[in-house]
Formats: sequence, C-alpha cells, structure tokens
Amino acid sequence: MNFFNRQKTRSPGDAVKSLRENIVRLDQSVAGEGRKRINEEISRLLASVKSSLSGEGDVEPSPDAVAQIANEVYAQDLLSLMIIHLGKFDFEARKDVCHIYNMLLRRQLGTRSPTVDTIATRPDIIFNTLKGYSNPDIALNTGMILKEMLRYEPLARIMLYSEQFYTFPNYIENTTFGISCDAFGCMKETLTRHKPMVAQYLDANYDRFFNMYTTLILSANYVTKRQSLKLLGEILLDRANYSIMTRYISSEANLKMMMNFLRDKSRNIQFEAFHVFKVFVANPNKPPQIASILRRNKEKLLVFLKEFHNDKDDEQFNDEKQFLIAQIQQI
Amino acid sequence: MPLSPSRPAQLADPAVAYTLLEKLGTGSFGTVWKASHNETKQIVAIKMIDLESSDDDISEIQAEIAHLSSCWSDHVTKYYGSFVRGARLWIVMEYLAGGSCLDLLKPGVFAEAQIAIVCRELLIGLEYLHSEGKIHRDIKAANVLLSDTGDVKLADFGVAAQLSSHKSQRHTFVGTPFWMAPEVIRQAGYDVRADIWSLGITAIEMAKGEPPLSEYHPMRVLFLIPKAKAPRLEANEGFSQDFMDFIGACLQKDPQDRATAKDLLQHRFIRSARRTTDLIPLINRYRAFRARSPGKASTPSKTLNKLAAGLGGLTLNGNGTMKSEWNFDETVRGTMKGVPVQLDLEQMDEDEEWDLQADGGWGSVREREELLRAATINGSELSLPMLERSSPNPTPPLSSSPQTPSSDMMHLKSSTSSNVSGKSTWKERQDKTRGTLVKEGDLGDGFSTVRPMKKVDTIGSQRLSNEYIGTGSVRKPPAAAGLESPIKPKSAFSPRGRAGQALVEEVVMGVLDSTAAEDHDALTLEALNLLRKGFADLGSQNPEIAYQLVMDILGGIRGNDVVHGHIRNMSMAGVIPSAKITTHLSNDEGNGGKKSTPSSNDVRGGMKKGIGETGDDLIRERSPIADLLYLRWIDGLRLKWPGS
Repeated sequence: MNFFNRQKTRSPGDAVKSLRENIVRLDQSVAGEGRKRINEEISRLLASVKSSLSGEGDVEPSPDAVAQIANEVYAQDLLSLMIIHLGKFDFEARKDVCHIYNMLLRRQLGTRSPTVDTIATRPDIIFNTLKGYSNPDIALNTGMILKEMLRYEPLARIMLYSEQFYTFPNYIENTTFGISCDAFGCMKETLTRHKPMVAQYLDANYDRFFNMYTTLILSANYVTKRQSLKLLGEILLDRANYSIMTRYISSEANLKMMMNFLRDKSRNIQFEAFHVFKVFVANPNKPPQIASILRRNKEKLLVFLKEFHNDKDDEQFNDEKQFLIAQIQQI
Repeated sequence: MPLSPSRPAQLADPAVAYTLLEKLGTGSFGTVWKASHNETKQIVAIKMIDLESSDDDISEIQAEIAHLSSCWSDHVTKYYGSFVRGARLWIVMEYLAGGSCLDLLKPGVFAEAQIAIVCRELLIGLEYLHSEGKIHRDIKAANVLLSDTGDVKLADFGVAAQLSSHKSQRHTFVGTPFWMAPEVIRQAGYDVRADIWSLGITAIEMAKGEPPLSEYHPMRVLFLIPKAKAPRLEANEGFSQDFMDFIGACLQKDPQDRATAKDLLQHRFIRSARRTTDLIPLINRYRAFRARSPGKASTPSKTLNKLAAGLGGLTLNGNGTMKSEWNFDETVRGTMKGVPVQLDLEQMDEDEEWDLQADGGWGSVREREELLRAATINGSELSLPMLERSSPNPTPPLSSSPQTPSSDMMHLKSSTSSNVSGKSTWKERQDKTRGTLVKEGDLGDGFSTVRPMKKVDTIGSQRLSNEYIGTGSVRKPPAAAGLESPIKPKSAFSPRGRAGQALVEEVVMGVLDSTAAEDHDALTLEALNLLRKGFADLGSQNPEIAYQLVMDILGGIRGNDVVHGHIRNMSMAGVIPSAKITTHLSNDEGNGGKKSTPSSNDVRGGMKKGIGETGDDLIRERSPIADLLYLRWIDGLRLKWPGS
C-alpha cells in the first residue's frame, strides 16, 4: 500500500482519525483488491481501538486513552459512520464495532454519560441502528447495539416517541426467526425498561399503540403471537401501568380476544392468554359489559377452567385458577 | 481472522425447499435431521425444535442462534439460518458426516494420539470462543462433531453464554452433570475456564469411554465434584506422562490454577498431536461397527417432508380441539360455519346492550362514582378470597421476605414430599430471589444437558443430594437400593438408648465429619458418606443397637491381638489424637452450623410446628394476584380521590 498506511499509528486518537479516513475511502472505492485492503485496514484499526478501550488481559485500559478515543469518535462523527457502513465491514470487524459501541455507551464521567448525551442529540443514529434489521448480514450486530442504547432512558424515549417505533412490527413479522426475536427483544426493552416513561407514553398514545400491538397478537406467526401475548401480560400487570391496565380490561373486544385465545390450539398460547384473562376476572370492579360477558359464559367458564391445564405443576398458576373459579362463581 | 464469510443466505430462506433424508439424533431440545437443499443439493443438518412442547422462553432459544451466528471459525459448526413453520423452529446448520465423538466411542475408546488431535482442535475452537468472551458451558464428547475428513468442530451452543467483559463472571447452574466444573456447581461465579475443566473430563471420556464418577447417581455427583479430589489418570492404567500431565493441567479444582486454552495449545501432549486426517480410521471403525449392528434407520414422515418442502405449515392451521365454544359463538352457530369469530362477536354486542339495560345500567355520573366507591370497598372484601394454601411454603406476592432457616426447611419439605424426582419449571429456574432446588428430573441420567437455572438453592439441593447416597448410576440397575430409611418419630429412649444417641451424634458423627472434611478422592468420600448416613439413621432409629454395635467393635478390638497391640503402640507414641472430636465440635459451634444429627431433631420439630401453623385457620394466604390487583386498585383510588 501507499506510504500513509505504513505509518505506525501513534496514539489511540490517531487510530480513530485514520479509521474515519478509511471509512470514507471505502465509500469511494469499488469492489476488488483495493477495497479488500481498505477493509483489512479498517479491521485492524477497529481491533486496536477495541483493545485500547477494554484493556488487554489483566491490564486495565488507560483512562487517558479512553478519553482520547471517545472525544475523537464524537468529533469524527464515527458513532454515525460506523453504523451506516457496518454492512461493508468484515465479519470480525462488525463484532468489534459492537464492542466499541457498548464500551463507549457505558462510559461515565461523574454522573454524565457523554456517549448517551451525544447520541441523544442525533436521533438519526438510533433510527439507522434500528434500520439494521432490514439487512440480515448485520441485523444481529445492530440489534445488539440498539439494545445497549435502549438501556438509557433518553435514547429509549427517543425511540418510543418516534414514528420509527411503529416499524418494529414490520421487522418482527418479515424477518427470519433469529432476527425477528431480536427485534422483538428490542421492542420489549423499549416497553419495559423505563417504566414511568413508558406508562406516560402509553397513557397518552393508548389507541395508536394498542392498534399496532393487536396486530402482533393476532399474527399468523406462532412465535410472534406467543411472545406478544406474554409481553402483554407483563405490561398489564406492571404496577406503573395501572391506568393502562384498567383501560385495557374494560374493553369487551379485548376480553373476547383473550377468551378465544384460551381455546387456541396451542397450549402455550392458551397459557399466556390465561395470564391476561385473569386480570379481567380479578378486577374487583368490573365494568358492566365485562361482567355481563362473564355472566353469560359463567357455566362454560367454570367447566372450562376446571379442566384447564390440570397437569401443570405450578403452584401459583393453580392458586390463580382456583381464585378465578371462585370469582366467576360469585358473578 | 478470516475475511467476511459469504453466508449462503438462500439456504435459510423459508421459501426454498429441503428434503429430509434421515434422523441424525434426538436430544432434549428436539430432533436433528440430515437434509438436502433441493436446488443446490447441498447437504445440511436441520435441528428441529418444537417450540410448543418446551416451556422455555423463546428468547432463550434465540440466544443459541445469536451465539452461532456470531461465530465464524473452522472449529465451530457453521450456522446458515433459521425459520419457523407452525410451532416448529428449524435451525439450518453445517452437516458433519463423521458423527460425534460419542458415536465414535461406541466401538471402543480412542488412542492417546487421537485424543491429542481432538483436544488440539477443540482448544483452537475454545481459544477463539474465549477470546470473544463466550463460554460454551457444555463441552463433552457428544458435542464434538467430525467431518468425514477428520475436521473437528464444536457443536451445540444451546447453553452458551456471553461475558460482557473479560472480567465478568457467570453464576447460572448449567451444563451436563458429569462434565460440570466445581465452580459451576458451587455457583461461585465462573468464567471461560469452566470449559477447560469440561475439556479435561472429555479427554478422560475419550480415553475410558465414560466420564469420571459415571458410576454414581447424578444427584451425588453434584456433591462429589466440588468436594472430592479432582480426577486423574493413573500410570498403571497405561497412560503416558504427557497425557496425565495434560489432564492435571485441565482438572484443577481452583480455576485460578487451571491452564487457559492458549496455555494448553503449548502443552507437550498437544504439540505432539498430528494431522486431523489421522482421525479418519475412527470414522471408518464406527461405520463398520454400525454396519454390523444396524440400528433402526429413522426416516421422516410424509407430513414432515411436506413441511420441509415448504408446503403448508407456514402458519398455524389445522383444526385444534376446542373444548367448548363461548357464548358469543352460540347465537350464530350453524349459519356461519367457518367464519372468523370476529364476525360472531358483532352479534353479541347487541345482546350485550340488551342485557345491560336489563341490569339497570349506569346512573348519573355522581351515582356511578358512589357505586364505584362502594363496589371498591365491597370488592376489597369480596375479591380477596381467603384462599387456603395446601403448601406450607408461602410466596409473598409483592415483597420478598428474608429467608429464615425454618422456611428453608419447609421449602425443602414441600419439595421432597411431592416432587423430588420432578423437574423444575421454567419459572422456578428463572427465580432469582428464592433459588431453585436441583431435582433428580433436572439432571436426568447425568449425560444430558441441564437447562440453565439462574440461582440454585445450594443448601436445599445439597440436602436433596444426600438422599441419593448409595444410589448408583441412573443408567445401571441401582447398586444399593433400599438404603433409604424413613425416620419415624421416636419415643422416649432408655438410658442406654440415650447413651447410644450421644455416642452416634457426638462421637461417631464428629469423627466421620472431620475425616470427610479432609481431601479425598470420590470413592473414599462416598464410602465415608455411606457410613455417616448409616450411623445417622441407626442412631435415630435404634440407638440401643448403635450403642451395642460400637461396644462390640471396641470389644472386638480388645479381643484382637494384632489390632490391640498396634493401637497401644500408636497411642503411646501419641499418634492418635484424642482431641479430634472436641476440636471438631468447637469448630462447629463457632460456625454456628448445624451439621450433625441433633439438627435433624430440630428439623422435624420445626416442620411439625410449621404444619400446625399452616393448618391453623387464623393464618390464611391470599392469592398473589388478588393482592396485586387490590394494591394497585388502592393506588388508583388515591390518584382519583387524593383526599380520601
């Protein structure tokens, strides 16, 4: 290669600068030998940045080097560039990007998280990371980075309040199992990690959210259906979501949907539906339309519940089932 | 490292078709098929997991795929893709024609030179995984696959873990009992070095055909691995010094003393290993063996192959068995057969409105609020049925109470009485606050992988493990059945009985415990445990006989000139320490631990009290969900009526 590449990288900060230059060159290059060499250089630089950040063996990383790298990464806009070009990097280099990203995100200065602060001013970085799900080659890498981002409330808030949040069902429904599960995991993270923030959002956007969510529950894909029912139960039973729960369990359409799932041919779907259905029944103050459906189906429900998953060796489940039977008997 | 692999993505396209050829194996996680890709004719292995039959969280299964897809090494089975058809997950992977090392062991054990080759290849794979912070956690011959040219690859990442940094540790109890490292069983926190222990066990497995301790019940192995000396190969068994030394470097009980994959690649035993093609004779030997004793060739059913070809099964369909139909279907049954339920619901809405009117409906807003308030107060009474629990094990719904020793006992009791041999449910295994009892069913025969348990109730499991003292391997007929002795409540003993009790509890147990606390191999340790259990049972069941027995032994010693003479010489030389027991007892008190039999009295006393308590009508348990809803209901009311 040319003289430039032969230069020894002098400092961790220089490695980051050189990384940016190479990414720009990669962009302009055409496929072939030249690009291959640029890729090798990028892989080498990423590996060296990664080891400066994480330390080697028992050697702790030097705080000085870490600060230098972080500042240079922000200055060179690498947080964005690494995501956009991830698909062009080599296999191992992509994993190094994930590591670098995670270590930078976790970096703290006092109570501040500088990387989080930086990304919070650049929502496009989050959305480009989400878009990674459309490229099977990198979907699990970007998924890992996205999940790490969502641990931080400011970033999760941007995700949740965005239009792009509503593209999750697309990634969940139209990708293969591994990617679909990963996307579901990130959606779940957005909806469960920062509870007060999520509760506030769901309160304000109840209809839009549950319209979208119901399509997942009614999905023809077994995995999507089962996972989204399970998550629904978790969301409703979360203390922070009290008012969302009361709203959900006063809708007769929701009750009917769950009662139909109780009779789904999949036992796991039945079981997950039970954990939503129980909330309708346990409600000490059922709205008349809910009480009425339960009353009309009282005898059938009693017969049904008495035979429902009797083989389960799950104390809590059996208790809850007995409780529901007692409740329905009183109706 | 290698360049970006061009993944044959089309191999995982659910739209393309496969033909299943033969069943390669059945594991606890599903079946593995050899299959041919219809367009390219490439042979692949397809692991089929029935998601419906497992109570695992789907995201756990996904973790395996995430591990596989982030590995690209010639020493790890390659992953091509995965998709779901119906409730079945299909994972498409590289097919390795040579079989697993466990298969290859069937006609006989491996030669040292062959073991060295397999170990070297595994170490290269482990070095790669470990450098990525991945722990395989289930290294054993069954998970080592060979290609038909002798390439060795690590397979089955079903329970692998990712460390977030090179210093972090894992605590999950997982792996296969006989291959588990001591620190994994002890839940002391472990890292990549746990794989090195399992590699050492695997090397012994290849040399002898079975892992060490396989003659014991898997429940006992949980106790023996952390307590006994690490297994070794003996020179008189005909093994070379290098090989024995290699085993010694892998099987160090303290992970700090254990060699790393990188270190071991430099070991003489490994450096002497030759090319992988030298393993081909093992493959040929196995093929000949299989030809001599042909097993049943499992071929796929037509339906399965239809699924493989992508015909149907892409979504949930077929007729499920519906027990009964809800009332909202009933009104239109017969007229709208096969129409989605949604439509029928419209019909019901009208009924509903009518019913609502009949009920009287809602009054004014004010009345409604009154009603709401009243209903809530009533509801708080009505909706919290005093459910009596059959189990003496309370599960506080909202706060977790600190665990007292007595609740621990009760927990154990409830489990032993009802479900010793059962399996833990997924929920139990994920329970981080209380800890799970490792039950017999969880361990299986000790040769199959245990599902991950987040936190194991170590004390409880250890107690449970004690019930298996003297029980042989699950695979063989029990060596010493009938050793269990249900301890009955005892009546008042004669003075002699009381002396016998004291003799057993204070003298014999003390001696046995302090002897067992020394460093022993598994065989010795287990023999001591058998003695201990025998004496403990005898002491509480029939202390008079115990007394008689010890006296007879003493008498026998006095009567035997050789022994008697020997003892006299020894004690005169001060070799027999007389204070052994007392030091042990004072230690015991210092630790506040209750190990010997007196505690078993306490246990039963405590249990009796516990049963009495739960039987008492005054103390009744609420259903957790009722509590949960009620508390949230109150919260909601506070928001609505902040003053009240």
